[in-house]
Amino acid sequence: MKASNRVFNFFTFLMAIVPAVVLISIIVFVLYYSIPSIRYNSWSFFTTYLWNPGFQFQAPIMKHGVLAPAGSAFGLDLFLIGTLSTSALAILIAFPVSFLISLNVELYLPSKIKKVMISMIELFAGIPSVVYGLWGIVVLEPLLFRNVEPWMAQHLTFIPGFGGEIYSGAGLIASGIILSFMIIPIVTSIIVNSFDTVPMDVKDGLFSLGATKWEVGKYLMTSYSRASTVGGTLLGLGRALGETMAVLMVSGAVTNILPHNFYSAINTMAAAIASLLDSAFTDSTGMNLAALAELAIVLMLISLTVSLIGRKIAGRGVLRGYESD
Amino acid sequence: MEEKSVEKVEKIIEIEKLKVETKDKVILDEVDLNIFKNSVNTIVGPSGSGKSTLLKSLNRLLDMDTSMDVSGDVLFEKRNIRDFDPVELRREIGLVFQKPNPFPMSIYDNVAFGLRIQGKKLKKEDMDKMINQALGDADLYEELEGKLKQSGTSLSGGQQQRLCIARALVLRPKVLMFDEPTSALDPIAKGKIVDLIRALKQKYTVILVTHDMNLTRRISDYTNLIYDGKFVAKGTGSEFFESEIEEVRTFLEEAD
Repeated sequence: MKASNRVFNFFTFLMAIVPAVVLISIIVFVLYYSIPSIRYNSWSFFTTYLWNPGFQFQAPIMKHGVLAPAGSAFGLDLFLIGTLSTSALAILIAFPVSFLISLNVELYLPSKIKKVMISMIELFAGIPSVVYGLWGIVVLEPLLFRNVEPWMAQHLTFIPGFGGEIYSGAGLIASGIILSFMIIPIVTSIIVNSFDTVPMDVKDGLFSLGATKWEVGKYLMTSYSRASTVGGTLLGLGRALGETMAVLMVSGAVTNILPHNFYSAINTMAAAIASLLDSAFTDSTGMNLAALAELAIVLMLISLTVSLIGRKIAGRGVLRGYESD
Repeated sequence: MEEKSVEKVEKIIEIEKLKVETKDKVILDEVDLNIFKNSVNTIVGPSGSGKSTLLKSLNRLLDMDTSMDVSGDVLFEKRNIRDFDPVELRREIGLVFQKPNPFPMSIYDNVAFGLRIQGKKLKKEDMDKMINQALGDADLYEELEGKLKQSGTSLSGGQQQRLCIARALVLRPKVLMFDEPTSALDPIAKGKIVDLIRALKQKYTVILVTHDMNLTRRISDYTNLIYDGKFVAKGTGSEFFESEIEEVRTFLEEAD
């Protein structure tokens, strides 16, 4: 083999293993950084919601063999609740909207407009999340605070959690809506793709039996596109779980106060990591940083798992679409 | 050739100056055609001549395709099909496709599908009765008795096609259209469909699109040749095959 060829082969090999090396090193480093927190907090990290950085100007204490600021305590429950509830609300909004958009694109729109619509939906996925966040603060929050939430608090009191005090518009509802905007493009394009893989024969067959467009869409979604729809929604959920900037801007970024109704300010794991990182560096024992690293590990585990499952289900759905052809 | 010999038979569909075109192509060019009741009305012609498009325009499946422009009139039982709700029309005029397309569900559910979406609340025993009747009419009942829970896609090609026929029959249509129903089947399965179509015309009006002249010879009552979006010859079975029209002779020669 020529020397130049060997050099080229070596470099392509090197480049090919870069992603794997980077991924593994990130996991190893974050895990390594979180060790002091795992030792210090033990199981209470998962059982409490208080996140107390401790007193920086007192002598640090020694516990389980690690140094930590006096009075410090770290629990992820508040952030976990925030992450799960905002993501759940986002999916609750995004799923029906995506389904209706897909149905419309697939069965109602002329094929030319359909193409424009699809590329527009894909463009939506490219809007930086900080822009969504800004829109959330400037437009959405005031709207929720002045118009929507007062109405809800007055008329929807029969649903638990919908009564009570309104805060600022920032919180669960705003975060859920913003997140849903960010995942609708993902869910929609996966459903549209899966509708496209259904053989024309089957669609025509359904119509020839007198099915309406709505019935055809409903049927396709629950049969041919079921796997893709579930998978796509999970992929969207994976995105929602880890989304940071936009949520940080509209969640209220609260710590140590559990939400007590749907209008309360909340915080998510991702947003907490971003917002608490700055002050964590002032902790000379490094415990605050370690606790955030542990939070990051948990977040990574959750969202990677959800995305993996989603990818697996969505992938299988696409394959099944081909098989049925 | 004129349709003198067929004037006494009742017409169920009258097509008048039906034109279907896309932006750059005329698919059906102002065609006129009568479909006669309780007969096998066959439309033959080379591929790409507009046969399938004609079928899809009769049950307004073409409405789904926004790139197609449709003009002219189609009367179904003297009433313009435009005045029908398309959903209702499609239940009156069933369509069976070239490639069997059972839905990925049980045999029973496949046949029940059309009934269920009608939203009628049928009693279980009435539903069973209608489904067994449709399977019987499609000559499937004996083969599949006791296996109705099996998936529709697990059947052989010929059985799948008859399942699709049963699925259309359960809605009690007046007209049943077949788009090349045997071209994807082996000779034995094909023979069964032929017998079935012959039996079906007692109760239903059949419109058959095919380019298989053997099939046409065996079962067609009225044969119509379409060429480039225009009917060039129409006639009863024997009239058609003896016709001296040039296109008919060329088509028959090519087909044999």
